[in-house]
Amino acid sequence: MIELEQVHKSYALGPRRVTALRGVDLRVEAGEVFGIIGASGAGKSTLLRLINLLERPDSGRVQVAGQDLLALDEPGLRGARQRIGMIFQHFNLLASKTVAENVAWPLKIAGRSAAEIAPRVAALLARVGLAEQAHKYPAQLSGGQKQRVGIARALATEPRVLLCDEATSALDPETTRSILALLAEINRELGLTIVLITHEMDVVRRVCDRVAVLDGGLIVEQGPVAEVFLHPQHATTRRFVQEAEQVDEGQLSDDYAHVPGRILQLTFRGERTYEPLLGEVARRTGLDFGILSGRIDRIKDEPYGQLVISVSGGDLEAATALLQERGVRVEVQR
Amino acid sequence: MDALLNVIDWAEIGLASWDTLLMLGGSLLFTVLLGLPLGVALFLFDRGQLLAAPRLYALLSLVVNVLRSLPFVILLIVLIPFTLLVAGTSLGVAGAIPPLVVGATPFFARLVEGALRGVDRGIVEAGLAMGASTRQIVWQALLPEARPAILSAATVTAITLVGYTAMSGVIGGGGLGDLAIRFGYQRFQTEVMVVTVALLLLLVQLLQMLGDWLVRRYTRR
Repeated sequence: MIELEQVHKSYALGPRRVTALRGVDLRVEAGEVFGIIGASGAGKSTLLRLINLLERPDSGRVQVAGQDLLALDEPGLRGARQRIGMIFQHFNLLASKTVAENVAWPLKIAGRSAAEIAPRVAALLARVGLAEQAHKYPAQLSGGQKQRVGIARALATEPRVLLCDEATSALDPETTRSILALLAEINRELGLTIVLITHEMDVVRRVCDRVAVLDGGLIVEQGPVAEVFLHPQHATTRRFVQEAEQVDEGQLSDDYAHVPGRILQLTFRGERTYEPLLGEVARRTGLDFGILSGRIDRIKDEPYGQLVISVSGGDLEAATALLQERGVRVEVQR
Repeated sequence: MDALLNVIDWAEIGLASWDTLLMLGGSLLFTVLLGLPLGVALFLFDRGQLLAAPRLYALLSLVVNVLRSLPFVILLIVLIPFTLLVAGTSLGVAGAIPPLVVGATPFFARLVEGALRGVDRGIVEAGLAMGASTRQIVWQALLPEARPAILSAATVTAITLVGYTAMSGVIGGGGLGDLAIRFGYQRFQTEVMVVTVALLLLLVQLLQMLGDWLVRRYTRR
């Protein structure tokens, strides 16, 4: 659905040139929720804006729904943008217009008739749960409600793609969850392709199918969220995961220094997470184990468990083989 | 007191008040009609804006600055040939309006430019992301969003114009200012001076109240 090929982008900042992106390749499949995570200044905002050409790349290719956007003329690009919705961190609603008028704006831009606009706006507001607020002004709404208006507005022209620019960064945790749930619902029900940028791993974990980690204008790691989240390879990715789990790596290795035996990290995925596997393996191989840390949670809809255990005695090799046979990923940490 | 007030020719005052209102209304109308597009152009041509054209911006900006730096009394005189051309006379209400418009338009345009700059950039970005044209962004987003600030700018401009109309008395523009100069100053009729000043004060006060009310009415914050 979206294909960026070797895109470069730099800006003039006074006499200096600042490079935002240095050769990024990105492929987002139709119907998936794709997350781009990075610290501020990593270039994620620029990357998102290349997809609807709010920023033009210095070089590279930008293709959306099979259309080469860089080859389009002004009216052609405007038409293409009408098929790409976008929501913003600070909502960017018109303060002088009512909720209904805000949602109607993209339809007006697209030249739809008033007779067509009214029922469409009503349906959109019902979808985001704001039917009652149609005649209020944005200033009378809460942050979460404003983002709902933003989402309704972005969906008005029935786009195939929705770009989310830090859509939940200005919201409290509870509101963030409800907005993410709404995005997931829209993705499921409308088959909409969603690209979101964020600096919070938690956002990625909740809604994304795949994730790319951006650092210094380059994608340093990408893949299915569970893979990247549970087995981060790059230092930047590890930092994001640890931040999300509130883990302090240095503190941990200090804590484990006096623990005897080997230390393993076990990762369970799917329904296996809830099986009494560890006890069974211990009985059959005579292994002694102690749990050092652990968490059981979900990545999007899939449950997972990750345990760090210390082991001593018994047949470690047989235990490892048994665990792996049952689909548990075993990583030796020490 | 009665004796003092009897000195005043109320019919003359009424006529002058009417002239002032005509000059104010006429010049405000044309100032807004010309200044609004000029202000929008200044905003759009500036660096980093939708129609960024630095040279054109520099040129417009220079013209605006030149007109704004001329004292209005000088402008009144310099513009006499132009006024004759446009209005057919350089006297009376009709003769006063062209210099008033030329004097106030750059002022108002700058205020409009500032009002548009006050609109959150995110609004423009949202419009672009929806595929809006520059024209659509200006008419459907920027001007409605800036409306309270533009109304406030129009109020300030109207009050400035009241001051200018008084000066146009110098070249026979008529109105309350003219009356104040001819009777109050040149003929030492202090009573006329006091009454005209009071009327001008009242006018300014009413304009400010009307402006404030309009700004409140269109503010949705």
